[in-house]
Amino acid sequence: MSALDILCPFHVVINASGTIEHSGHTFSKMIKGAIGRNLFDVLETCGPRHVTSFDDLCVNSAKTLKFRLKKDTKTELRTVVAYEPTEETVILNFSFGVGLERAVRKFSLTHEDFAPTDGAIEMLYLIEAKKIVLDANRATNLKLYGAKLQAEQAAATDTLTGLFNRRALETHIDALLRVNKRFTLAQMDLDFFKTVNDTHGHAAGDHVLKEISKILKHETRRDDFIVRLGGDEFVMVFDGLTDIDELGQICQRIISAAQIPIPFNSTFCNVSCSIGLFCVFSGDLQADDILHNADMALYQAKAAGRSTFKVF
Amino acid sequence: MHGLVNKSIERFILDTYGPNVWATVSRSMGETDLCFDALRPYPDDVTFQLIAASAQAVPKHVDDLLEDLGTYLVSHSNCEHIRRLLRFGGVDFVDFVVSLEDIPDRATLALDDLILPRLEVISQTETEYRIKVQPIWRGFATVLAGALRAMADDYGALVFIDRVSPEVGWDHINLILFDTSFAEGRSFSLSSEVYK
Repeated sequence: MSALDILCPFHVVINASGTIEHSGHTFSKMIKGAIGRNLFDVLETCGPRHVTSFDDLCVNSAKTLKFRLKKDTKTELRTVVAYEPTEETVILNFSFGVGLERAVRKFSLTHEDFAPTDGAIEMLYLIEAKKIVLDANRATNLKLYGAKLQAEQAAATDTLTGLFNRRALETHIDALLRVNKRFTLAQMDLDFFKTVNDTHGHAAGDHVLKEISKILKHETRRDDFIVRLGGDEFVMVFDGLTDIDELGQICQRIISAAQIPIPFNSTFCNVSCSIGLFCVFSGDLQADDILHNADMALYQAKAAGRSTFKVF
Repeated sequence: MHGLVNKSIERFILDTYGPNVWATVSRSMGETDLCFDALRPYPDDVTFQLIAASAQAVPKHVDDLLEDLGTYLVSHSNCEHIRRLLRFGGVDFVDFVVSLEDIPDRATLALDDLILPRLEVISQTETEYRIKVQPIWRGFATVLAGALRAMADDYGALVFIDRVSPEVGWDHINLILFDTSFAEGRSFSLSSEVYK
């Protein structure tokens, strides 16, 4: 093995006629039977200068050229050219540059095909290590994203009924106001709820709240936004709906359903509900004003003898 | 301690002893379903508690468990990536042993917050090596001894490995090489695409 073979396993020696006189074992492994062939039958230049003859190579001595394999044009070789005047030969030494990983796969290259001083093995190690770290990172990100969604949902939900809570309501109203959409906000509370709690206990009260929630879900449209503000106070937001007749029908259905006694253990809980409506036609209002106006309408409904609804 | 260390122990217990043993370990750590994050740091105490809890749950002597952990890390099919990263270290087993010194730097290259104990390899004769292990992680030399045994198998080498842990100073692993090509060994290709 010559000194050059030890130092540069990926080199070729070209004589004055352009013939490959000798090659290191990596080159021999990639191109079988290369010795004796003309270099430019095996490789073609792809920049930065056009090189097609021995004389062209001599001119480019000590420069860096780029070749690619004719039999596999995707394999590009970064090349350094060295003219050897005493022998009248040119030595080319190659490396793969960023195409390293592909070339290793394509030509089944091993440790022995790279000079120990070459950084290729370290580069392959790093490529593989980075992939593993990125995969782990991706898995962690997905997990955190799932946890974030869950936390966001929990932060917007009333735990007893599964309806939205006050925080979610404020965000929702702000979003509707921002896009200047018309909508109606209905404020509702239960009549005689305190009596249920006082006579049948808090478990009965909780049961009633859950049953009322089911009624609200059932009697409204699928995309209506149903909120439990706290206690026996509920809010419904009807996105895009300001037609009083249609709203009235929904309210009437809710009021009728809420009047049916709710069985609990061996007894029945009797409540009813009153609703105040406020229709919003423009975005230049505050969430607080809207809630206040709906509340005023609710107050009127209660004053009018309960189990009814009023529009502000 | 880097989360990767705790995650490795978690995977080892799950893959080797199953979810019931892991549930026992979780409970003795005061959790219902312990799941470590590989990419964040934990206090060192957590790792040492985890090792003690695992040894008790399996049950096995701590040293035996740690040596099995080392073997698991390079030989279990779920840890193929670790074996591969180690095999980049050398063409044959001797080459690999000499390259052990580079492992902490290679680890830091991949994950800049992963600081492994320093290793020093002293070649006493052509066939006898002493590997000195910086004693910053109690028990690390034991894990390494297990990993070395498995790597010798991987390369097809026949070796004798013996560990000395003095009260103070660096731990020693003595390694005697009987035959570098005792068995076939497992194949290794520089490209990960081939083995998949």
